Amino acid sequence: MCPDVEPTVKDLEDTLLNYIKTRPPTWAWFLGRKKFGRDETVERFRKDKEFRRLVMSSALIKAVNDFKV
Amino acid sequence: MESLVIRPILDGDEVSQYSFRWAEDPIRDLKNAHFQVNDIGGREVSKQEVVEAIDSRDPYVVVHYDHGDEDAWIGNKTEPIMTSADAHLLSGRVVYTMNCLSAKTLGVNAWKAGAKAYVGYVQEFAFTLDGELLFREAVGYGLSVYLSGITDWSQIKRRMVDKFNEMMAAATDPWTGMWLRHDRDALRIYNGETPETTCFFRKIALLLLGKRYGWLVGRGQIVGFAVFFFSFGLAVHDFAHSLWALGGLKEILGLHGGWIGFGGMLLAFLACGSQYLRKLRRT
Repeated sequence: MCPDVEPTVKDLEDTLLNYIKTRPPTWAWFLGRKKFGRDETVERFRKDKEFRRLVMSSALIKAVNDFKV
Repeated sequence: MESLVIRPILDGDEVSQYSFRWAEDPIRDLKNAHFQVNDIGGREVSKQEVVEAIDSRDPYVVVHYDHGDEDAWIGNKTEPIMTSADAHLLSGRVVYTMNCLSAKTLGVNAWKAGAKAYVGYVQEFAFTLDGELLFREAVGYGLSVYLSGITDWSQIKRRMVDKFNEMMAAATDPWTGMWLRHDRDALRIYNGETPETTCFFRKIALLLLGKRYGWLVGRGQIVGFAVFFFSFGLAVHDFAHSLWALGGLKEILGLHGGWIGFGGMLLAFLACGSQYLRKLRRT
């Protein structure tokens, strides 16, 4: 792969953030006891390192899972 | 046969309103399988209510759909309705939960206390509104399979994982797929699998006694066994060394009272240990 187009962790972070930002205002999901709307998810993703790590690792694991044969 | 379904709604809590609705699936499946269903919920539930329901009805299947913690089922805002201290109440029962984290500690202790099976999750449970029905179908599927007549819990675990995979394939957005994968990997079914451990002594017990009995031995007993063998080895070594200093190998191989004593100690230990293991097998 050409080095200048190689995806980085930052690309994944930006892609996920963009995905969340483009959800409709009514979009919601739950983790444990907490309900997250679009704006709250964006805010937590930006400010909470543990939360960002959980979401990014979940996205990565899902990507790996999707390619399992 | 009797069953108990606990599906509280906590005051002002949105998540438990979903879990309350989702619990209609196990209730339907239990009724279809001709179980008497004792349904407690739709409001906050006290620990006393749960204990009384278990004591009076003696349910074969116990279901809990609501919040949870590593060592707790939640039913109200003041005290857990089930913890490891109450694990004996789940002995001899099939326990099916849709709550966060309880398979981590409470589930292990319920299984050790003799629960026929404990279905739960070792992470916080997540779901999306867009994919609500996919999550709902996947979490209730295991009980449905069990009630259809399949009693091998490792097979039920595989079927549940397949169901989660099926729901992931059906998900129309990656966010839903991502959290379905998260929940799938957090699912644990004890009896269908054995709990993981980070404890060094537990690992040794599992190695020596196998997955089932290695978990049934208490921590104090594992430490006791380890200290006995270490001390025994030390004493034998020191005794042999003293004999070596007196007369070399010939002296070591001689018939000494010390060897007879060590042999007797070892035989007594093995006799007690084997009796203990036989007792464990009966539990």
